[in-house]
Amino acid sequence: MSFVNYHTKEVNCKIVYYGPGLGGKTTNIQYVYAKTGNANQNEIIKLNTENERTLFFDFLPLELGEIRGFKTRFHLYTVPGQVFYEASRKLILRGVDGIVFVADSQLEKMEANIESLKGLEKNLIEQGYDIDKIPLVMQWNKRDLPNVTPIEDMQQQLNKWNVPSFQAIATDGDGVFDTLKMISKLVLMNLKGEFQPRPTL
Amino acid sequence: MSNGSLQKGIESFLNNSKNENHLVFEHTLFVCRNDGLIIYFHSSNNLVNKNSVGALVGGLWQAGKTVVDLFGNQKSKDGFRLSFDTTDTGLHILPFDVKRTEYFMGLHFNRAVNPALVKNRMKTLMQRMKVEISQMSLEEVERATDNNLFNNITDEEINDLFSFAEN
Repeated sequence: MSFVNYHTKEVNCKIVYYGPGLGGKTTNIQYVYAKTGNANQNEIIKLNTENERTLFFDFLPLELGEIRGFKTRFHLYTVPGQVFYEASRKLILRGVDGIVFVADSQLEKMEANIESLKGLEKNLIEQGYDIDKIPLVMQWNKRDLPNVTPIEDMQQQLNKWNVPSFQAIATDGDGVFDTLKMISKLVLMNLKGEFQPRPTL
Repeated sequence: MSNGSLQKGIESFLNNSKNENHLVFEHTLFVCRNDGLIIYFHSSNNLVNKNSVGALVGGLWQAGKTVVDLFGNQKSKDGFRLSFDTTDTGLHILPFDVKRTEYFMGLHFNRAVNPALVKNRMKTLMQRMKVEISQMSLEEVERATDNNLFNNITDEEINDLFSFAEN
């Protein structure tokens, strides 16, 4: 989606929060929305099922200030995490500039994390992207819960690209902005082609 | 028209077309890219968030097209259009291409006396706009290629962008 308009001095970028169901993707952008208050004057859009699960996507347009004279606008999307909605996930990845993979740290969720990550790789390829080249940040969410997978194991099993990763408790906001700032930085750097393909481990 | 941006060109064309197309402009008219990015937005309702409209329309079109594709690639010489409406209120979307990128012109009409006529006028307006922008040079609207644009962006600059989060 990245769109740089030199005439109006605007930059628009699309960031997608991806990950397994109930991992905390929506909670991430809900927290961001809560922090923007009325200053942003943008509403969060949720296309949910009756039981509050994401049906198609959540959307938060985030109008930030200026950077180097350019007005910066990030469009944050989440995908539906449930396995059933694979077709929707593919659509939402179209035009993506950066991805936050929100992993659920609970031990019993590791298989779902791996499955979702495989799906991400596959869907990116289908949309013409290479996961080695697109800006990607990992978030290890729900670190406050008992029975979580050690960080070293999360890294080993889910972060073979060795991309930046952050621990998070999205319900409290911990790690939410650290993650968003990092992906934003990588996306902006990638706009000019500075971001280099990551070496695989 | 030359050396103008796509956005500027579309704005200029549509704003200059208001008088002769009041049937269309008394409703909400917008143009967005296929990924939802709003290029033009005209509405008398200031409460509507244009970015949300773009995102939803982009998703709506993609979903509709994907469903149709599931049944096999059914091409029509007229191309597809998308409507979600009642007899007097609703949404009508028409696609067009610029440099191989798909854009949409969308119309939200409310209590239209003759919706078919409004849609027809919108279609004519879009066709005229396509001719106009086909004559434009679009070099000002493109993916960033300026190597100095965000060179060596710092953590401080990113922190400044997100300073609202500190409150």
